[in-house]
Amino acid sequence: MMKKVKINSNPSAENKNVDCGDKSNIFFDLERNYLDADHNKKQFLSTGKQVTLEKSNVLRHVINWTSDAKEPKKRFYYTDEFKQSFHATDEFEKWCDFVETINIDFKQEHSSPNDILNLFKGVSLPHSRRVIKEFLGAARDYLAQKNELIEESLSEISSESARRFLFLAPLLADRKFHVYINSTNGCVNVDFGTRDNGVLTTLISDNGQVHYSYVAQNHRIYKLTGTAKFKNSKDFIKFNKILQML
Amino acid sequence: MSGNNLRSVQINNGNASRYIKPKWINCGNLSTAAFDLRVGPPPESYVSHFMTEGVGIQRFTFAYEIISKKIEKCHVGSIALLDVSEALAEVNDGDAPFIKFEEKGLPHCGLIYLTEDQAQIQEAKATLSIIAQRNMMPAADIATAFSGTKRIS
Repeated sequence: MMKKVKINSNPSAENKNVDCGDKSNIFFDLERNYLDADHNKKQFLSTGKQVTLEKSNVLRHVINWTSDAKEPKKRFYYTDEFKQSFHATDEFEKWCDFVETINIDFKQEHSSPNDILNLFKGVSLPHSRRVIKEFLGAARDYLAQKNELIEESLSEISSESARRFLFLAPLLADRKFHVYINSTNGCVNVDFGTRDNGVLTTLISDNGQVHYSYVAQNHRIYKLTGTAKFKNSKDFIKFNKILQML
Repeated sequence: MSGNNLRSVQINNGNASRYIKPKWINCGNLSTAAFDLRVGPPPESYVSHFMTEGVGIQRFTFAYEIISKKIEKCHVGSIALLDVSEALAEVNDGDAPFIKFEEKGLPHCGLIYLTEDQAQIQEAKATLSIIAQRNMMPAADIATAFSGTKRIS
C-alpha cells in the first residue's frame, strides 16, 4: 500500500502540510502527487510550486469537495482503491510504453519464445512475470505443434495480438487463466473460469479489438458477448471492465 | 480431411464425442481451445467428432473404442460428449445458425462454424465448452470400464 505524507499550510515545513484553501486537507503520496478539485493530477515541488501533470480520469466519483465556507471543513481521504488505481494507472502506462518498444516477432527464425523472454531482462516485473511466462509457454507449445505438422500448417502467431496481450499482463497478474494461440488466426486467446462455474473467453485480435464471451449456466445457459475496441495501448487498462464480470 | 468430399448430411441429434487433450483442461475447466479449427493447407473446415451410441457409460466406452483406434495415446486425455440437439439449440440462439454438425463418413462427423464473426465464434466455443464439460470423463477411467465390458461380453 502507498505511504502517504500529510501536507498542510507550509510546504517547506517539516510536517509537509499545505493549506489547500477551502479544499481542506488532502493526502499526497510520496512523489507528492495529488488531484485537485478539477481532477488535474498535480505535483507539489520542493520549491513550494505546484505543477499540473495531466488531467486524470481516475475515480472521479471519489472526490467530494465542499467549497461552502460555512460548512465545517471536511477532511478528505483517498480510499485504498483510489490510491491503488492512481498509482496503478501510472505504472500501467509506463508498462505500455515499454511494451511498445520491444520487438515481438515469432516469424523470424532467430526469434524464439526464449528470445522474447530475454527482452524483459532487467525490467522490474513483480507481478507480470508469471503472465509472460505462461504466454511464452503457450507460444512454445504452439510452435512445437506447428513444426510437427507436415501437411497441415498453423497460422503464424500474430505479433500485434501478442503485443496487446502483453499490455494486459499487469491486469492478469492476480488472475487464474488459460492462454493459448488460436490456431485459426494466430491471435492470443485467454480463458478465465468464473465464480458461477462458467467461462469467460477473450480473443485478443491484432487490431485492438477484444472479442469476449461470458457463458455460464443459471436456469438456462446465459451469455454476455461483445467486442471491446481499444485504439490506444494505454486504454487497455479498461480491459478491467471485462474482468469485473468474473 | 477426407470427409470433405462426402455428401453433406446434417446431423441434428445423438451424441458426438471428442477427444480432449490434457492441456485443454485447466483446474477442471474445459478450454475453448478444444473447439478451435486449424487452418491449412489444406484448411480444416470442421472440428472432428465421432458419433457414439448407447446410454450412460456405454456412450463413453463406444466413443473410446472408436477414438482409441484413431489416436494412439488417447488414454492420457479425456473424452467429452456433446448432445447434438442441445448443442444446436444452445448455440444457435441468434437470428441465423452459428454451427451445424455434418456426417463425414460415420461415425466420423464434423462441427462446422457457419459464421466468420469472431465474437460469435467465441460465444459458440464457450457454449460448447460449458455443455461438453458436463459430460466428460478421463479416457483412462473409460478404458478400465471398456476392458471390463469386453471381459463380460
